[in-house]
Amino acid sequence: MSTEDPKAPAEAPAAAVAAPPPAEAPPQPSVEAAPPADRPAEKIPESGSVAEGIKMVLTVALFTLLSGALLGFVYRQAKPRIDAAKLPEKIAALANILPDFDNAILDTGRCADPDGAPLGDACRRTMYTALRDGRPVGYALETYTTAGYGPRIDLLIGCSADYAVTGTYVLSQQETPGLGAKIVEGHRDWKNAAAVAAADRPFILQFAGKRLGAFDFRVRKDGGQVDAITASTISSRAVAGAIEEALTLLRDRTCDGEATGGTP
Amino acid sequence: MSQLQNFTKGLWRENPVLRILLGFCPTLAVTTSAIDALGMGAATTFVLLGSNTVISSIRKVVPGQMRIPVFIVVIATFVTVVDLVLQGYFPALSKSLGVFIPLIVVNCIILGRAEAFASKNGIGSSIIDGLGMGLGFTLALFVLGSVREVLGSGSIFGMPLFAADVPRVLIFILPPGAFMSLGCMLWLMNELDLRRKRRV
Repeated sequence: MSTEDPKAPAEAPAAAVAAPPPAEAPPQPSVEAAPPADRPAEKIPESGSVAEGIKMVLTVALFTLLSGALLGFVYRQAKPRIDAAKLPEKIAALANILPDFDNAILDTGRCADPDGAPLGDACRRTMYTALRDGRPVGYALETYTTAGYGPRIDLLIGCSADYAVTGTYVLSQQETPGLGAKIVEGHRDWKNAAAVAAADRPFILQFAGKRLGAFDFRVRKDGGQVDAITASTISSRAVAGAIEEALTLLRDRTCDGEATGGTP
Repeated sequence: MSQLQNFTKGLWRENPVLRILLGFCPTLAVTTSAIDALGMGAATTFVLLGSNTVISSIRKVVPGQMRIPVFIVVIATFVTVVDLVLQGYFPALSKSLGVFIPLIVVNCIILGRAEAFASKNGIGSSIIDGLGMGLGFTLALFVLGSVREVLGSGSIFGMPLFAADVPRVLIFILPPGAFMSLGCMLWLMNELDLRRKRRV
């Protein structure tokens, strides 16, 4: 799932360090007083001395430290492979959610964060420009929202050169299976979105062709025009909000100040 | 008990799923196809092997009262390693097993073997025990996954077995099918055991 979060491995030891009891060792529980004879490890000290308590804390601290070091090492080794493994999915998704283009779209990546961070690990939103015969035909934004029911939803949102939604792909999500997780339904079907009957159209496809201003990206419950997934208003609201935000960001980034389709 | 018996007990006599009835969560959840079942079994076997080895080798160092937190740290470390490796090298498997890889941490079989075996026995015996138990778990998952894939999807390892117009029994790849198939396997296992005892 989405454990690309660099702080994830570091969290495990931190949480485990909290496990040892306070330094003044607790009184010996009576259940432990009679260890099975075949357990050599279980040498119960005669009294709950401070030294015993410190030893226990240090043992757990040592093991969490070793664990943290090992995980840090494995993570650094695996990170390039993990990123590379995600590329084919991203390339397929970009082709699906954008109008047909003929450029090497990954090379057009620019950081689209409002604070203008450079492309790299610190960049949270990346925008791509789709060109055909050298002219921009659409834009895509790799973004995320934390407004869902789960911790984070990673999205790839595409629009045409005049900022109508052409697709949205869910890169990763941890919404409730069977409820909010339905945001992924149909997210590979943008090329034949028009052929799907309105009655059984998945949630995500209702955004096809929608524009800022002409469509209210709030769910109906909030007075907007978005049909939320039944019993999953929070997930629906999060995705709709992310799409609206992405359209705004893509429009601001390509219309104002910068030349349209600025990257060659 | 000879080391051979120590190894084979996990496969049959003390099979963690079919005899001790532990680890049902992954057993029911990821056996919709034979390949997912094998992947889950392999990941769990690796964790079991690693945790049994480490826990057996540190069993004399760790104070008795602190053993459970230390065991959990050791197990969680191996699970995170497996998760990262799968994400990097087997992305398709990682996606289909999803949240059930991190959940290996709370698989009762692993903590059960750490507490019941590795914390009382030498490294060699613990490695053999972990291997036997892991393979027993994999075997149970593989049989269940194959049955469900053949009946529910009409294929094995993703290769179709029947013509497209042969109806599939869809319920077998849905959760109720998991319970029904596992129930039948447990019944079969008990029946075989009863017959063996009667003969003896």
